[in-house]
Amino acid sequence: MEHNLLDSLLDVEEQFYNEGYELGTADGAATGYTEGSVFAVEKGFEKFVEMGRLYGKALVWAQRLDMKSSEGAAAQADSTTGSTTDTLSLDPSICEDMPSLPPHSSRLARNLQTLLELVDPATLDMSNTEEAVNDVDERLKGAATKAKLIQRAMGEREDPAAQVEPKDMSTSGDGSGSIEDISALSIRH
Amino acid sequence: MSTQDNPAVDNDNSLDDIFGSSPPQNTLNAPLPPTTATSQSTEPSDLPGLRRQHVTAGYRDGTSASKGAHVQEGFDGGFPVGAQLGMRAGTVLGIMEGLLRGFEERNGPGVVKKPVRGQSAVSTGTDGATEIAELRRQKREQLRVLYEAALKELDVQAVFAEAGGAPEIAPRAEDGEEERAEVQLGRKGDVVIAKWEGRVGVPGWEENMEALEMKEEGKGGGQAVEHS
Repeated sequence: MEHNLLDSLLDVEEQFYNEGYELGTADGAATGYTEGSVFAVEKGFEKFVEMGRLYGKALVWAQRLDMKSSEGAAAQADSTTGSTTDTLSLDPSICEDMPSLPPHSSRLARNLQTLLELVDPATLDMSNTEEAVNDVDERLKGAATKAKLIQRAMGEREDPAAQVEPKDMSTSGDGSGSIEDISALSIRH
Repeated sequence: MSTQDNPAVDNDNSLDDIFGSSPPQNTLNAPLPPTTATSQSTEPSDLPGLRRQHVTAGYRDGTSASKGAHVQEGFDGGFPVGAQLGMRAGTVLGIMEGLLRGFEERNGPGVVKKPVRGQSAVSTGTDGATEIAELRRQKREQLRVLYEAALKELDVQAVFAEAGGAPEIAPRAEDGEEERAEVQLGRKGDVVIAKWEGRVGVPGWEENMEALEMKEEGKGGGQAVEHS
């Protein structure tokens, strides 16, 4: 009888502890996941915004370059069709109203092709594996360099701020998303 | 688990013993004793206190153990969502940046080589030239205003706080299928970005791109007219 009492008291303590532990585990899993996720959404966004920028620019360059090669047709077709409407149309045909490109070598087209391949969203692995992150970093670096070359060949002025350059990589951590990074952020819940 | 059985003592003392040595888990969070010390000597009726104390200890241990383990999981889940949206937002900005640059009159190093041919192709006369220059200036201005608005709205903080104020993420998964943080954020971001994609006509640019690429592949030479 006495023994039973002892045992059951011990059991009760352990049972309470376990009860708490289970609750804590569930809550901890949820908050932990949320913190990691919110942080990562921001980090992923910041990194790929740079990639997207280069892609967007490349789309415009490609359009202009193409127009240049079919210059005769485009120029006479509607060099003065400037849309007078209030809402500016951003259709690719807008490029027809731009100053034409300076003379350039065929290297420009090749560089642009390479750039487009580097930043092609369809071939970018956006997962947070070490391999994918390294690949993205590398391509971003290469793309920024190409973009600079193209920009120069196109006679565009250099970016005042280093807009084209990948942002300081150190801010995005090492891609491992180590937990130590977390404490420094503003995680909002 | 029973530490030392002490058959010789009476009931009260044996209780002291149990509380005194307490389960090993508690040694992690050392400072528990005070409450125990007072509660133990009273009656078994302090069960609620005892309960609270052990549940709390367990909760604390459970939270810290599982939180750390799930942060990485959350990061892995959230990263691709942010990346995808970032790519889209960046594309919008990049197109606008490219357009802005395109409408600038060249006066940098590029112009040194006197693009005679290019110039004459566009302007049909002096009057036409100034008119066109004015048109370009206007477009550039419109673009600039639009671009600045986009920069603001597509900022990482703005994109995910779309609903006004900080995003409210429910960190609990109590009622089973609580939506994950990245799903909620993803939906918020999508609304803003989709709006800008529509404004800039991203699909149009991409389609055009594909057409250009196809042309490139079948480069026969004189099919420049193909694009309308």
